[in-house]
Amino acid sequence: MTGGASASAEHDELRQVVRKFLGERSPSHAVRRLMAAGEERDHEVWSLLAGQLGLTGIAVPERFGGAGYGPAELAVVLEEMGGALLVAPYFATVALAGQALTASADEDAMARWLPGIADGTLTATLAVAEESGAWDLAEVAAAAEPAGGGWAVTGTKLFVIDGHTAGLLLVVARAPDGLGVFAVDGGAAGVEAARLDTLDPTRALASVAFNGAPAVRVGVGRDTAAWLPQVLDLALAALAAEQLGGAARCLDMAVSYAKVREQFGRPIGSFQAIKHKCANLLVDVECGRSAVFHASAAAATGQPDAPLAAVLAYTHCSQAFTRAAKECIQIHGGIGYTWEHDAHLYLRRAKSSQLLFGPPARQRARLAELAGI
Amino acid sequence: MRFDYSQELEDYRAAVRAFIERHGPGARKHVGVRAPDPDQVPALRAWVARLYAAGYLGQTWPAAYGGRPGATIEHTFIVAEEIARARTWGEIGAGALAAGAVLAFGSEAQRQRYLPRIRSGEDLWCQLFSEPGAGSDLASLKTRAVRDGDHFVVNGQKVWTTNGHHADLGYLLARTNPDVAKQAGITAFALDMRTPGVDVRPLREITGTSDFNEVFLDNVRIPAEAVIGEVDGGWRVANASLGHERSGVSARAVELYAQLDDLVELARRTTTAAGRPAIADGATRQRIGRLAALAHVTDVMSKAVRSRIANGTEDAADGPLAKVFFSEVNLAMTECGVALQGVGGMAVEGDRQAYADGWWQDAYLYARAYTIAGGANEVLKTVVAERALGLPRDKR
Amino acid sequence: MTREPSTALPVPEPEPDADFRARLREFLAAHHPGKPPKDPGQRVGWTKAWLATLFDHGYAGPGWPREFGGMELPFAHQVIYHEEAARARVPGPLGTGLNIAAPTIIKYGTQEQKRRWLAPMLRGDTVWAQGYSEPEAGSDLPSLRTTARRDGDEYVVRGQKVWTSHAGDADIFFALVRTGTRDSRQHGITYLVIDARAPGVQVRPLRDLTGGQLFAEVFFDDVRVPVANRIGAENGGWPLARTSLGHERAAGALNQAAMYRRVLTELESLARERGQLADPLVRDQFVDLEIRVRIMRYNAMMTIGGILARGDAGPTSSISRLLVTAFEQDLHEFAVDLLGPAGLLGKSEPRAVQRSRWLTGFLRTRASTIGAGTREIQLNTVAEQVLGLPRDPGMPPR
Ligand SMILES: Cc1cc2nc3c(=O)[nH]c(=O)nc-3n(C[C@H](O)[C@H](O)[C@H](O)COP(=O)(O)OP(=O)(O)OC[C@H]3O[C@@H](n4cnc5c(N)ncnc54)[C@H](O)[C@@H]3O)c2cc1C
Ligand SMILES: Cc1cc2nc3c(=O)[nH]c(=O)nc-3n(C[C@H](O)[C@H](O)[C@H](O)COP(=O)(O)OP(=O)(O)OC[C@H]3O[C@@H](n4cnc5c(N)ncnc54)[C@H](O)[C@@H]3O)c2cc1C
Repeated sequence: MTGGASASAEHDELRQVVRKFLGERSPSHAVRRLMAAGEERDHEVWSLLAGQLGLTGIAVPERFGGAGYGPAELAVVLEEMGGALLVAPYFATVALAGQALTASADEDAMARWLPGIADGTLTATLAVAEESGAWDLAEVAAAAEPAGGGWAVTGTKLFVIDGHTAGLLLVVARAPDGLGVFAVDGGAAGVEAARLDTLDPTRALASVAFNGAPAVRVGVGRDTAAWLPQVLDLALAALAAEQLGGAARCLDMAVSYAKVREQFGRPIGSFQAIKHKCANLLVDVECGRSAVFHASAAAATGQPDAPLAAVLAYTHCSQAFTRAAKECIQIHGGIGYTWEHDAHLYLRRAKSSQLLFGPPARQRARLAELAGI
Repeated sequence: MRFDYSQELEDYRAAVRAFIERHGPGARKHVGVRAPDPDQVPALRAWVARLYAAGYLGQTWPAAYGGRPGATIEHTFIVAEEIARARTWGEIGAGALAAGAVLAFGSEAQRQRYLPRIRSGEDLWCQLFSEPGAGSDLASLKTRAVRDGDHFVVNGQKVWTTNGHHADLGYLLARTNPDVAKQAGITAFALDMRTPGVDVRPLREITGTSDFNEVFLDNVRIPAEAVIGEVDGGWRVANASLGHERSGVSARAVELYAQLDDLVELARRTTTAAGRPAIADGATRQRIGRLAALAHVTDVMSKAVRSRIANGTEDAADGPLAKVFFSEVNLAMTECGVALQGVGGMAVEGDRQAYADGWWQDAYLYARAYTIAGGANEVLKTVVAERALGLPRDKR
Repeated sequence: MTREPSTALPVPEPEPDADFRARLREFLAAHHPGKPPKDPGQRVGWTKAWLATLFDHGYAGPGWPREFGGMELPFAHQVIYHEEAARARVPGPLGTGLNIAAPTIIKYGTQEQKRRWLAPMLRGDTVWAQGYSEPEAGSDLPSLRTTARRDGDEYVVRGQKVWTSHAGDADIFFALVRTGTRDSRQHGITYLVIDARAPGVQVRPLRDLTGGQLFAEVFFDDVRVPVANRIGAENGGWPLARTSLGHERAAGALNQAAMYRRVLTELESLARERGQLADPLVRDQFVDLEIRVRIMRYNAMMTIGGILARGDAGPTSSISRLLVTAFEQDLHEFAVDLLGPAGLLGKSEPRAVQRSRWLTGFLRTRASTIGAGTREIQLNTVAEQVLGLPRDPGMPPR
């Protein structure tokens, strides 16, 4: 995609299409139905989203059946999905696994799995964290050993997004020659996955135990350390976009409510205590928008500051989203404290997104390093 | 100012602590003002009765109604603090609130009728104040009570009624005169929750638990003798009650300290990237240190308020100020507890991965309730500005 | 959604006119006035000389019409202009006329007024100062009391202004005065241009909390002002008071970000020198400021990109002041905290760290959330104008 004003117009159009689709197909009651049933997606919605809208293929290269766009367009889609709290394995499949396969530049692996991701027939995920929960490659203990013509993976991964339903698991493990990424079929022998009970019922996390599970190595011949960290940064930028969408929606809900809820004979939005909260949230949200835009543009064009921009966007949006979700509850008063109101679903999503890749302090420490502080 | 206690009070505290340890129903699963599971209720009624019988609840009531001669508000505080320290159950529902209203405004017949059953745990009460349209602006409530011979017929809806589903009686505010200033047309009632037309529908909170309810009132007939205080005099009754919601002040500080201990324990057990316990990490130490300081301030503040209450020199802003401060420290502390757990902080009650069976996650979500229930912080801050600082009144 | 999110573009790179940039850079280097003189009195003359140099070479007023000595540059070139000026670290404008009065004159002045006032202001020959605030009228400007009584073809002005920045150096005041009835509020306000040397004008310097003399009180004791000095209609001054010229202001947005980037880096170096960067809490606070300073730049890019792509600055421009003012206050306070007791030493102390700049900054930035509209008013404005929240009855009209 070329830059210039045309990109802006295209993004706006994409945004409108996705927003309209999600407004119709992933309204609150649909999210709640899936959530209550513990299902990972609505299959009809998924097939429309993949087929009619081509969203699963948005960041997949054209020669593998995708649309050939990149992180910037993915960010637009994820922002909308975050706003709607879509329950679907989209983030894991497209933002994690899809971008990992593309970054691996492994022709065989791409040819084998990307077309399935692009057309929505394959769901996938990336499994990094273990006992500590941190997405820290240095802490990976899972092991991969040569077995027959391929590999066998052993170890336990925790907090794997959609790990119990994914058709394909990309597992980061230690091979005799160093860190590698190994593709394991979700249904393979020696794979045992179970959904975890977590704060955010709209995003499934699983523990996945591998016991000599048969695997194919991804990125053979390339130093994993050269491309895997980049995938993690892409994941951060992608998650930041999703968080931004959530934060903007919280602000929107709060403002809409403050306009109509009356106490003491006037709308509560006319009280400055409420006004100032909302204006401060707007500052957070607009800053998040700038940060996400920059992070995704930097990733798309391979700028040297892309890693820093990604951590920055993620750190800011994590805070912005949790703050917006909390204030959204506060501004709604008692009704905001109920399960039936959506505000808490956003707080749950916000808090768990903030923790998804490890304690926030670690991200901040990394930002300090990248910025040369 | 000194906050240490007389030997008499220290002994009293020791006795209360021992009593709770020996007879108490054990630690609760969740923090805050929560409703028990239905199957716990019979045992908790018995526990409440035991606390009353031992003179640990209701002790400042007049002796004729079971109060303990010589008991002061200090004793009440100590009991509340010890209950908080043990993280166990105290009185279930709004019994103390209702008793206060009946003692101050009720008839002798009402006292004879309601107080013994509160003491025996036979009657659990709930507070039927808030409505969908009347929260911060409580005086704008719309539930109507219309006189019909020796009854009032009540129609309307209440909401956020904690423990409404367990309650035998409700302390109800309703509008008896719509033609006067909004505060002047309200009446307080004792409502038998089993009266036909009372429909209690449980709600679910953001924590996933069901502590509060909506209560629909459809042509509910309340006998005129259940009016507490004077007809149209309910605003005064309610205000006095809301002022009584203050014995919680020092208990909340105790709660915070207990939570601080947990936080330190948590920081000992979690490890950082370098594989060291989080407690050894400088930034974590600073953060916990700051929270410890805030907890300490909360404690000192609540002790000051507590002693002013005991001396009768309490300021109208004391309660609101202490509550706002506590609730904000509590937010920061629960946030820290969840953040320390990193991605593990996402696992909740019931999950094998969850630390302390999800205590922190629940406390984090519940922390929002403290900033809304019993007066939202924004409104309380306005009260503090006006009452403590003498700033001009906001047009409310 | 209340607002459509903007998908603006970063400033287009490669830059639109490398040639222009090169020419400008060369000019600024060749004529650079060197280091500012230490004596504040001399500094005014030094700045005036520089403004004249710019004007005489056709390098003044990037956004102004050519007719009045400006460059009339397209927006993208204005961005370049400001970048290069910041890079060369040349002196900024004198007084508040260029930023605040000039747009009003350009939009609402008569041809005669424009000819009379604009070029001398741009060239630095006349320094303008803003007489809006009064002792009893700050946030609530419509309550101002300085009166102007019509007497033939003159107004007779009587009253007091306060916090008037640069009043001591000013040749001209642009002021809001009451021509309507006492309680006519914003409907009875007129915009007048007043000669600072007219009989009856008295300026009394005030000392601000940094110890400096930035602003003053200005008294008008039956000062006679020609009716020809009125901009707009009588009683029609209020809507003119906050005029801006296109997106002129946004063109400099990147520089503010760049300036703070530089300041933060300097603070970081200082902390490094002092061996404080290993402290995890210090690092964490730097991370916080680092995020904000970078976002400031991203925001500026969004604003500028929005103007270039759609002619619309978008919400990032409305929130930028809230962000920047909080940032500069936090930055300086953090710096003082970092220095500990040494941070308290005044300029004249040999042990003062970096001539006490952080301490001065800490004090000076108190004004950031007061001057030109307080933070509280700004928050209300953003809540009402951008988010559409119901009006607070206590807020001044727009
Ligand atoms: C967990 C929980 C338990 C509760 N239990 C009970 C119970 O047992 N019985 C009972 O009767 N009630 C109960 N309540 C209700 C509680 O008292 C109300 O929620 C509270 O008074 C706020 O009212 P509201 O929810 O209608 O919010 P609103 O009054 O609608 O407030 C919404 C927002 O507007 C703000 N606001 C309102 N007015 C102003 C103002 N003048 N200035 C600035 N900001 C303002 C508030 O601060 C809040 O942020 C409970 C609430 C909770 C959360
Ligand atoms: C360094 C500096 C330079 C200045 N230069 C100039 C100049 O050159 N020319 C000029 O005309 N003026 C100048 N000013 C004045 C400036 O514009 C005023 O100080 C400002 O508008 C605030 O007015 P005030 O000082 O009267 O404060 P007030 O309006 O009295 O405000 C006092 C406090 O009350 C708050 N407040 C007021 N109204 C509301 C409301 N409706 N809601 C909530 N809070 C409210 C304010 O936020 C503030 O915190 C300058 C000020 C400073 C500090």
